[in-house]
Amino acid sequence: MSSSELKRDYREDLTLFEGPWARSLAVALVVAVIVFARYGADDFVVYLMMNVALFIIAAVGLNLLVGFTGQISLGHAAFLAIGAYTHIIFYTMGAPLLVTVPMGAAVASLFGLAIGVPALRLTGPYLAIATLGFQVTVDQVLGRWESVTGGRMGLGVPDPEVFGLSIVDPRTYVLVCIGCAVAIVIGAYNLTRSRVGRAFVAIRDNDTAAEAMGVGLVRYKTLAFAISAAITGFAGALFAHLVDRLNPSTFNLLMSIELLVMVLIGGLGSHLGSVLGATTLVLLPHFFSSFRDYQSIVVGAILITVLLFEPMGMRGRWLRIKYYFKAWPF
Amino acid sequence: MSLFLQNVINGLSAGSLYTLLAVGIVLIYKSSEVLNFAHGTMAMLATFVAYTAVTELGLGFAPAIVIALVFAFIAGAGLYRGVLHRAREGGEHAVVMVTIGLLMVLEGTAGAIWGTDTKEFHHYFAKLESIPLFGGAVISKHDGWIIGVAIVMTLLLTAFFRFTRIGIALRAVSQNPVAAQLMGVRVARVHALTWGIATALAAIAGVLIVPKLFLDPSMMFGPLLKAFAAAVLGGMRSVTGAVIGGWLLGVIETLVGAYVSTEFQASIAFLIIIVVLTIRPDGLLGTPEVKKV
Repeated sequence: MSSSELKRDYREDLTLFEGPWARSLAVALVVAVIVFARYGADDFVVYLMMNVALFIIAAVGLNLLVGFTGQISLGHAAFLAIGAYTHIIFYTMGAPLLVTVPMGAAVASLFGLAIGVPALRLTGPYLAIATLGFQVTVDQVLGRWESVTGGRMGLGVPDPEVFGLSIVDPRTYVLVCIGCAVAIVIGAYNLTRSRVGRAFVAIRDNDTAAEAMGVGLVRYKTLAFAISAAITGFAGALFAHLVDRLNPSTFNLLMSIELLVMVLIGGLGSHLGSVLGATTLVLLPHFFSSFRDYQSIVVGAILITVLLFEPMGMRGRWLRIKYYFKAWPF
Repeated sequence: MSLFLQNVINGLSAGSLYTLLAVGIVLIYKSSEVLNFAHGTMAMLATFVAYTAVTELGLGFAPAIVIALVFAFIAGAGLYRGVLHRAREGGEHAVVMVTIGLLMVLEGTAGAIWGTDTKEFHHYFAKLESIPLFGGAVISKHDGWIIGVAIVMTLLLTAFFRFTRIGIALRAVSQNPVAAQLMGVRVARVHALTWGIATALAAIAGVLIVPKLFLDPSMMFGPLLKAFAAAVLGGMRSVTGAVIGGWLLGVIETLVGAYVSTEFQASIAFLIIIVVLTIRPDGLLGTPEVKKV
């Protein structure tokens, strides 16, 4: 059975999909989503789909750090903000979009490196405090540095254009978002199947043992921060075009916590989990119209429940159901 | 000179509140390895309880404070027994995230019960008339109460840890839970007790600070972040460090606000966090943690 949970050789460990069925299912799902976004959905649903796609990117980025490398970050909304502001500031100056979006990711990545260096010496609670401090500091700087960021009044967002073609139409822009999300998810899968990904997991499971085996902690921990920040900053740059004005209060601590909740309820260390988690948490408020008043209660309650009763998240639940039927009737 | 002295006194007043909160954070962290993000939220809840006792039930200020303290003690101990005790099995990230979840749930609940609009709560301690001190500086009665209560609480806590059986048991558990358990200390009960004491300290801080802020569900979040900075500055594992860190942070912050820029005042706490964590992660008085392989 090729879809066995036990990997029997190196080739099997490296495969992207478990057999042809999983591959066809994934392709069919992506095609269905694109067709629906293009022809079936109304404006509001398209807007939701853009949000879902971009938060999937951000959650996958955070999961690389939290789920795979075992570092915590309470400051990932700040990377989103850095990506968004960098992109919009340079884009407004007239640089082309295809340059400024990667620039947003690159600047976020530099900040990720800057946080990653002190994070080398910090574990658990200390890292939580340090990244929390980073989040609050970025929020304050963006709010006060009015000559560049527009302060609390916000920064106007110009319409996105590529090679003179406008992609401001939601039905076009949603395809850009979905395309980027698919690319990032595949990229993340590939990264975690590689040497680098295995080094991340080794650090998460036991950093002392990893170092003894020759995994450079300095190199891979800072790399994890840099890659994670770059992906999140990339999501931020694309996210900028979903709002009329960029405002620091959009990227607040609550957003950082929500990103963590997405990763946790999906399942730590699972890309599919991050996709499911992000989708659930973005769509949830819209299924319950009275939810908005109690948003923090519900999100907090979900967080506590998942951590206490299903620490592996939705993916853990799915695996358990799968094993139950596989092993049935035992 | 008198202006400098005045700034130091104002800083000590702000620092007293950081101290009260930071001592609770350190007590909880030392005993049960939990970094409690819901610490400020518990203080806010207790302050709301005192407010309700005064305005709705028409009680005097003294019985209201007693009710708030009892509430804080029971709620803190209950929170540990009910939620955190279980969450600790999931590892340190799970614990941090559970306290963040608690923060969101409790803050939302307070908003649902009391409303998210800001209220004013002026009480016995909040007197504005000032007492002249040496060197031309003055201190308002409110600041006097804040500093005085913080000093008294610090002394009481020191005596408690040094001279009572329960205090010694608390210290034993924070040093080595397994050995303490073998010596007949009920570790789970001691943890719950620590949480109760720490939360009661936070409640005192909440009631003391509320006339300077407004009473609303998110009022303690700013002070909590400052208290984290104070605890990191002093060393997360040192109660004395938290006391010193709190007052030091208060004074530094006020002096920066007075002589450098008020804009910068709000960020100085985080700058201190990052500098301390980079240069000396164990804080001023903390001892380095030795990791066993």
